[in-house]
Amino acid sequence: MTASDVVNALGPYLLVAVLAGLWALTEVVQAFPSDVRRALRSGWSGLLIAINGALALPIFALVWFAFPAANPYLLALAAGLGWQALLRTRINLLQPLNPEIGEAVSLSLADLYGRLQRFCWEQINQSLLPGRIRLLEQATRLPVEELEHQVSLFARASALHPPDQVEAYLEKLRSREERERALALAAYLLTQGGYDFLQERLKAMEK
Amino acid sequence: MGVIGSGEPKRIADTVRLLADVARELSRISGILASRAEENSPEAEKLKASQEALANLARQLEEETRDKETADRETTRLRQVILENLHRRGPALFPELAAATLSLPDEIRPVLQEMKQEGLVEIKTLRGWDVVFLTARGRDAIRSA
Repeated sequence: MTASDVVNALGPYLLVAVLAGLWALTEVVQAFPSDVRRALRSGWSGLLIAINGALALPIFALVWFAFPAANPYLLALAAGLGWQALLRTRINLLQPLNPEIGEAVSLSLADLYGRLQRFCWEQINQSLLPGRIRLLEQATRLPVEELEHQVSLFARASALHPPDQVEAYLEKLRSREERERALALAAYLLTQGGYDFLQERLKAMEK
Repeated sequence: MGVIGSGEPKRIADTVRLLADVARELSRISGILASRAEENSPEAEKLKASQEALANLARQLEEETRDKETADRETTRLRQVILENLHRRGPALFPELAAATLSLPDEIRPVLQEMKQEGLVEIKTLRGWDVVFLTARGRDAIRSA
């Protein structure tokens, strides 16, 4: 068996796994837009990507077995994309004859995948929280005027909250004690700018 | 409004508005009776005083309703923003939720407590920080909103 035989045999499987992995990767990126880097580093993202890849491989093997004469790379492309779409579609695996008890036993691929996805999201979220707590604790040690300046700048550059609303919020905060103000301002930067943004700002302010 | 906003405050506001209408009407009737009573008689003076007192009461009740409606609108808005935030970003630290809604902790705390009692959110403690999670009921509320 030559190297080219190995590539020919494994190539389509690799393509299917990569497509499935990319699909799952896109889901993670979309679900955690403000903290993509840390979400992807979480083992739970890896698990979701790996499960997607692993589920796609036997499907591709079945399709290839059913159509042995077809171009394996085209089949891999079709299986890689089609299976991922199917996985997220409401197709019932078990459909009881009696519709009265239908709700109880009908299982859809989308439901099963949704549960797995939700479980992974919860675990990723749990793993991200301690980092956010550390960052906020760190931010409360910075001069509050500097944080306020950053929030004002951010509000002017962002379309999320109108600057006058943010200004009214800053005014409300001015009546509060310094630590509470710093925490609220840092939390604003964290929620609106994301983890990396606040971390970068903190580093710049500490210099 | 479903579970996003409770129906109880609306009923109270309707009752207060009705009382304001009653007070305004009584004030009008007192005015008519005062005009028909003998001028400068004790009855006419009493009716005029009643008319004024009832008009004041109607004004106070209207102001009360307006304030209550503004507060209710703000609470409903806060609840909506909290649910949307939790749905979009996942569990949030208490200060994060306050900042995301541009609210002070004192403003958002009672709203969150109310939502917790209604089973829309769950509050857990992580390293001494309160973390707010969306419950299955909260997710349903977003879908039905």
